Amino acid sequence: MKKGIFICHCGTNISERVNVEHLKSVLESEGYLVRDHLFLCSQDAKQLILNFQDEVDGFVIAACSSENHENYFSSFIRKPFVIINLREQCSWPHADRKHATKKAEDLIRAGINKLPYIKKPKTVKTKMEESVAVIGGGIAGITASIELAKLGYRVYIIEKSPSIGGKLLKFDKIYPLNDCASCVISSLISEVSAAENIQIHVYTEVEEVSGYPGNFRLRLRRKQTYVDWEKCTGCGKCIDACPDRAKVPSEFDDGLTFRKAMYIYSPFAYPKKAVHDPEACVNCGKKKIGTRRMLRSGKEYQTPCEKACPTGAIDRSKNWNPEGEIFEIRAGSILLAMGYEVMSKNSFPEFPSHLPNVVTGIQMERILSPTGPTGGELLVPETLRKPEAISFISCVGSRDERYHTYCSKVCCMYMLKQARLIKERNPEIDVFIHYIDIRAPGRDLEEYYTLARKLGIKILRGRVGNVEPLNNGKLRILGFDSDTGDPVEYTADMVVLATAVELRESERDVARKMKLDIDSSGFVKEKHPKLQTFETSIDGIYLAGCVQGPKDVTETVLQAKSAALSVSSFLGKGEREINIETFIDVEKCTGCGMCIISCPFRAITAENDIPEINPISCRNCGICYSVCPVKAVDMATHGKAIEKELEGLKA
Amino acid sequence: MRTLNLDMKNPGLKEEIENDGGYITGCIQCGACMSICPVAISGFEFPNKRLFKLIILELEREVLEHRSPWICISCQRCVHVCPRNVNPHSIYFALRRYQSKQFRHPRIFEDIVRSIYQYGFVIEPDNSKRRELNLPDIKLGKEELDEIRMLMEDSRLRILGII
Ligand SMILES: Cc1cc2nc3c(=O)[nH]c(=O)nc-3n(C[C@H](O)[C@H](O)[C@H](O)COP(=O)(O)OP(=O)(O)OC[C@H]3O[C@@H](n4cnc5c(N)ncnc54)[C@H](O)[C@@H]3O)c2cc1C
Ligand code: SF4
Ligand code: SF4
Ligand code: SF4
Repeated sequence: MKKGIFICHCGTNISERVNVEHLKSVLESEGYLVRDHLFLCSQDAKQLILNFQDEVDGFVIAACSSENHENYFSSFIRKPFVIINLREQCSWPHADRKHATKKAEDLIRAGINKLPYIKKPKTVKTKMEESVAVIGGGIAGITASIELAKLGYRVYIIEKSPSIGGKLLKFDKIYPLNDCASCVISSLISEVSAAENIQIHVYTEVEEVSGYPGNFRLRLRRKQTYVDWEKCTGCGKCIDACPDRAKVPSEFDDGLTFRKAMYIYSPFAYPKKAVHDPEACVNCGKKKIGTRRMLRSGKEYQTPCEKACPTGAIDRSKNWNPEGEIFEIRAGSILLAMGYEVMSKNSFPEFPSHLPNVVTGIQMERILSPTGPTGGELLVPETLRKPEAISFISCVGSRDERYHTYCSKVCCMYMLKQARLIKERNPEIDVFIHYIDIRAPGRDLEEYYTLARKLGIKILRGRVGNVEPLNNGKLRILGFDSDTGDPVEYTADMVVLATAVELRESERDVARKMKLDIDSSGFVKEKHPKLQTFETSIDGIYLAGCVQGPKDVTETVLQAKSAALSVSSFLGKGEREINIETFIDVEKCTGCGMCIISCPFRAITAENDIPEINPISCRNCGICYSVCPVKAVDMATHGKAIEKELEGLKA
Repeated sequence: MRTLNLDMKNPGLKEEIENDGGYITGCIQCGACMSICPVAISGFEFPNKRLFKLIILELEREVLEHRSPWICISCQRCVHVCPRNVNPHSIYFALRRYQSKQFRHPRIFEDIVRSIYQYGFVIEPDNSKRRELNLPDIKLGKEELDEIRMLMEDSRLRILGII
């Protein structure tokens, strides 16, 4: 059997450390057909390979990781082939040329040994569900849903809070044009709510994800609200009846205000329905959740909130069910759009974060918003007086080895935005921004920054080392200005900490349920940082918005629309071909069941002791192959062939 | 190095310099003006951008004490390189006027002005050396000198009492 060995230089990526000439002469002298190329993934290298398609029985492609180009090579190589990774495994990790070349030779020999044992996997076709589960109802999820619905797919939006809209509902204006954030998101909300093929599940969380690309099954949990949303009109009477004692920090105002145990998520919540929070409830009506109390008249006694509701939507006698209502949906594709959270100000002992006048960027958004605690008037949280000076501190928790090393990307711009809004409305207020670098790349952003300077916002390069509370309730800022080269100090009424944008552990868990990777910054990892920025390692699961990393609205929307398009090209075919790599030779099988218990994806089932692999659940991990005592399991390329590859390495 | 107290500000400073010398808030602290300023290059402690930052921070006291505006030789190179059209040179001159108004100019400036008022020259002309070298005397005629004096009397220098 004649074997063709094609060695790639990858520019100098490989040839710098691996002596290609040496490999060529050694292998050629042993009778192999050997060719090398500067870029084996180029069009003319393709021609080179095609020229030998009839002359050889198989190819060893010695190039880069099979992750990169396996699909590409298999698109035109008709003979069996093995990819050997010289780049990531030889030239990149080894400095010594001799050593790298020796390793390259060993690996190529292992590949030669493997080649005859490669079999073509079988393929089966499955039909795909024409629906998409969009997890997260922020601007990313909403935009993508609208696009998908337009393309004719059934869309389920799954939102964990009681309202869709995400962060944009909390903002007053958004850069770069300072347009009204609510207007941007509200019109989209009305579009999704009117779309016939979009179903919105709010107050709902993902419990479990199973199935496979094209046919995912999501087990969802609708948290219990104790309010019949069919009946609730959002009038808010129950909230008036709920006593002040039943107060907890409001999620919508990021803790700047309180909400009661009966609450509506926000003034512009969609859907605008009341929620009862049993954990905040103080049982003012002396009728514990899940109990009934009968009056002497035989009628049921009602708590104040139940009584207040004009439509009789509230029912506290319902048993508390921590599980909520579990239901299942099927979706051909999943889009993760779970957004982000900013770090809490309490994560930073170096700032007096316990003080009410020290706030996060998101809290400042609420203070500036007309739906916020002060109706949009800029007041110091503690005294409710107008501030004279406000200090913004950037990179709090970002670009910091102790917290997150990445740049949160939006903070520079939103600090400038907030500073501008303050200065435009109250020119007499002194606004300081302390920064490490101002990062304002992108359309209109530099102009935005310049305008901020011209408005007289005082922008100081250098970190703030200390914020001291003073006796009069003000704050002493100790910083540094590298422009003048001097330490600076002044008093401010408020400090805004631009705390890092991060993904919460609960959201990472949802991603892990789908076996997705989390990157070193804690966000959900895309498939390729440049070419596949919204695809994931699992076909049919896509990403949009800040779940993948910090982004502004422009980028979020761009990514959401691209992801929607990808979902549609994925599902559009209607059918999917699945490679079956693993099979069981029932003749050899003794029915011991080892494979069944060891399969991590529960892909193997048995009837009458005859095991069968469900090709759809199987991920070709090879565990069944390795545990089968009688070698009844075989795999197209990952079983015997790998053993032979290892043998070749030993030789 | 001392700590700058940003509370001790006078917004009037920035306003006046801006009206007189141009849009200083456009300065992004890039330092281009310093990179070509001959005075800065020749080793004077001449941090233009520091001075501009002090104006932006409205720190009048710091600015009033600054000696740099008086070292500028008006070559205007900075004007050409500033990427923000700030015109550092005109700001320097606005600063000279600002400092003079508050008697914070260098003492030697007054001596020079008075010398010009008296002789029409920066220094008192000493013609004896010139005669040894067979050079003609330099001397302003009464008319010319009167004209210079008139111009000077008409300026702020008189209001300030420097002449
Ligand atoms: C203070 C601040 C100001 C900003 N100002 C601007 C600006 O002016 N201009 C600009 O372009 N950008 C701005 N940004 C960035 C902007 O907020 C983001 O680009 C945008 O919100 C990203 O949208 P998203 O849909 O990815 O996330 P989000 O808006 O966070 O939406 C995510 C949604 O998913 C839901 N969710 C989360 N986890 C789950 C789960 N497990 N299951 C179901 N649902 C879940 C959330 O409840 C939320 O509704 C700002 C950011 C900050 C921090
Ligand atoms: S009183 Fe009833 S209808 Fe009104 S918001 Fe509350 S639950 Fe809804
Ligand atoms: S005009 Fe003055 S400040 Fe500008 S470069 Fe010349 S000497 Fe320097
Ligand atoms: S060149 Fe212009 S922008 Fe740069 S520091 Fe000088 S004045 Fe400022």
